[in-house]
Amino acid sequence: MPAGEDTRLDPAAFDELRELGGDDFVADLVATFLADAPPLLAALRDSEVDEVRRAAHTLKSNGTTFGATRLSALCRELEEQAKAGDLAAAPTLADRIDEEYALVAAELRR
Amino acid sequence: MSTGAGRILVVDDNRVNRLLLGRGLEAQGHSVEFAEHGGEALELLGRGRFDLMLLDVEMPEVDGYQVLAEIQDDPHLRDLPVIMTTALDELDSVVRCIEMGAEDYLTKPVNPVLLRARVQSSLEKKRLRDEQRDLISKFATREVAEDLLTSGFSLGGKFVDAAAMFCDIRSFTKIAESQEPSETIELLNDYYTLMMDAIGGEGGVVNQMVGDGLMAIFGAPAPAPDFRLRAVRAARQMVELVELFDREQAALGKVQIRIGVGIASGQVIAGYTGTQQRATYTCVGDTVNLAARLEAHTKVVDRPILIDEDTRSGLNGEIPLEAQGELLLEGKTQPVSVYSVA
Repeated sequence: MPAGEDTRLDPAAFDELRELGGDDFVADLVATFLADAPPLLAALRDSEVDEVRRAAHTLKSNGTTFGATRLSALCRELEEQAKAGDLAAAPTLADRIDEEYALVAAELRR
Repeated sequence: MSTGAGRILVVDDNRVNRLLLGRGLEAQGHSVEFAEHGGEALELLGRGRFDLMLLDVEMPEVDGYQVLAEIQDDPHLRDLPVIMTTALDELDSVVRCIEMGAEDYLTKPVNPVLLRARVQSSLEKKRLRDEQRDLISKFATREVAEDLLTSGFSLGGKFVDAAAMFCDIRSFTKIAESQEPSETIELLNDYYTLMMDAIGGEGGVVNQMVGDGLMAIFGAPAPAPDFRLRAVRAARQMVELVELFDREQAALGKVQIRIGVGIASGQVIAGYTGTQQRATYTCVGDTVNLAARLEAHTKVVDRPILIDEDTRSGLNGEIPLEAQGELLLEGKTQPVSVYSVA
């Protein structure tokens, strides 16, 4: 990861959001993401394959929106596995997604 | 050229995406409504008119594919342009959506410049399609226009059960000779307006207008099981409207008219005749010939409305009739029973 381990968010993505709607809009968007994420994260564990796939899909999409590249990549990996019907590695991936999300959320709250 | 603002439906189960797309579209002057899943989208589409839909593929229950399939099956929605909104790694699903009739696609997160370009282009296409639809409606009835839009333009014919109606103004030539040409045209326009109101009100389609005569079909192209009853109800209303019209004409010191209506029911051959450049919805066959004969016969028996036995069989005794004997058609050995409608 060349872009520095300490930053979880791509600033370019943020600039685009700000350009689209201004600071208040970005704040709303962040609040929405943070409010919707916990049930999605919970759905990554002990759920039907379809539900895991859909939750991972939504988290991936929102990760991309905020430039959370690593979160997005992890979610995509889980989505692909769920698509293939294989949840063997899902708990491990879910752990990594949880960790990554915690870092992203902390940065978004700043 | 800018096509201006449109009414746009955004369908996405992800709240963040709805906020983003809504913001982007509103910033470009459009009015936006939202649906959280496919079912809600179909409900909103059924209720209101939209110029464009931005549709997510991946949604719980009714997904984007199902929404596309539903709107392709609906002649009222088929012309609605749809832009798929999808993740960059799902381009294979986009191909399927385009094959299913989607207009275009955008990858999420959506770039505002691309959003503007694709939305404007789709709205422009919608505007052109609406213009085309309006043009078709001007030269064809609503039923025929819808039939054309649903089935595409095919000149193929088929057998259908329908009622054929002929109507004309008695002694029209004499009337036309006795007044100014402009008065004659005005009279014809009033007459046609009244007749088409009555016929359209019962689901009939006027498919020919020649001078003071018209031909209408009930039960085709849109099927209606009670087409016989509808045709007779329309005929009675036509006679009634002409009586009212005559009262107004009398009060103005203008010429009064009387009409004759003939109705026959049964199998007809229906289809579009003409060329690809110019075509009309036509019905032909013995039933149609009989209706024309019955209309001519109204002068002989001095009754405004005459119907055949087949038409009578569909009235369930709801309308008072009077037997008028039999009529032998040219080229036929069996005479047909004729009834006048009170």
